[in-house]
Amino acid sequence: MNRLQAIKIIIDNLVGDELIVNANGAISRESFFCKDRKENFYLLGSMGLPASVGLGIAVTRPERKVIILDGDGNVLMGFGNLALIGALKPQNLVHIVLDNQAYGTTGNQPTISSKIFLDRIALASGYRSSCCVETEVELPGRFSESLAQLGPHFIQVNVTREVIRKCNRIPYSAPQIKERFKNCLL
Amino acid sequence: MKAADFLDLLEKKGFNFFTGVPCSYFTPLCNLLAVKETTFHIPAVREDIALGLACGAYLAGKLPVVYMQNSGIGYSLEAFASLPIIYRMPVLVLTSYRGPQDQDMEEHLVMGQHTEEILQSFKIKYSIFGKPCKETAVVEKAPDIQAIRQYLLKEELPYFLLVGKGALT
Repeated sequence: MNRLQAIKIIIDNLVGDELIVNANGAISRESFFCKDRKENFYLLGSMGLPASVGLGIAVTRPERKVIILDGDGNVLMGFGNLALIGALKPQNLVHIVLDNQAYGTTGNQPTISSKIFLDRIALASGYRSSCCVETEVELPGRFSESLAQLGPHFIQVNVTREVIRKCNRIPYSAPQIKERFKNCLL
Repeated sequence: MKAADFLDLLEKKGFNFFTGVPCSYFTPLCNLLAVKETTFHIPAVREDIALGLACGAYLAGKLPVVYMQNSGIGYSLEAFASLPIIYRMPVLVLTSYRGPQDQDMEEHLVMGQHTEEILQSFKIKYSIFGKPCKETAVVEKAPDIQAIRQYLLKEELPYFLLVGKGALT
């Protein structure tokens, strides 16, 4: 499966008003393209920090489900986030890493994620569950299970580097993204 | 100023989410945060991660404080540029002003010499709390937290309070 297909499966299997923190670059753009939601926060930059922002939301609002839609490059850059999430164990957090083993937005330069096991690192860090999903068939079940059970959960989704459609930049300004997201948390 | 009084003052003014990375200048404050159960506090692992947490908490309704050594400005400057500054999020940043008062500590000299220049070049508003760090610096006896709060809520931008050695006891 490619990244856009994986994102579509995740969005199609949302239950309702889950909050999604979308990583910068292609992930935000493809998520926006699949379905723009007021519960979506789009990072325009801040490489390495999607998990930090998601964690800040999750610990503040434990009654809301928070999904971090992350990439392997982002996880590798903000590696300390895995330790912090594992230590704090927010039950309402699902951390999804779309792993294409590359910096997709900048031209698919390889990351080192092919040489390590992100899912095992998440488990060793203290996530309540961690898995690696290889196929489109497995993803809906794994995702729905994680949404239904106490977290934090880590789902590594192996995706290809294939880009079937180049998605445009988010058409909102940063303050517009913030205001809309903040308003749905009032 | 007593760290306990300073923390009370911050909490009375509505600051209700604390995260950061310790500095020895903040030992009394960090020790308090570690034990005070009524205060929402997350010790972070890096300064940029602390800022990400604070911005997430702000989105979810909190008024956050991030504490760090000025060395952490180096680690987190891009995070400031790409998160609270462009999205416009209020964050009070307590930064120890290492360097000028640590003449025998080489590791703090470069960042200490350029701390204010860096903030100025990013047009980040700041004030100094504690002993004078440079002859030209403006020194406040006790920080006007009410004025800082008003600035944060009106401008929706980060504000730095540079804290000198011994300012918090």
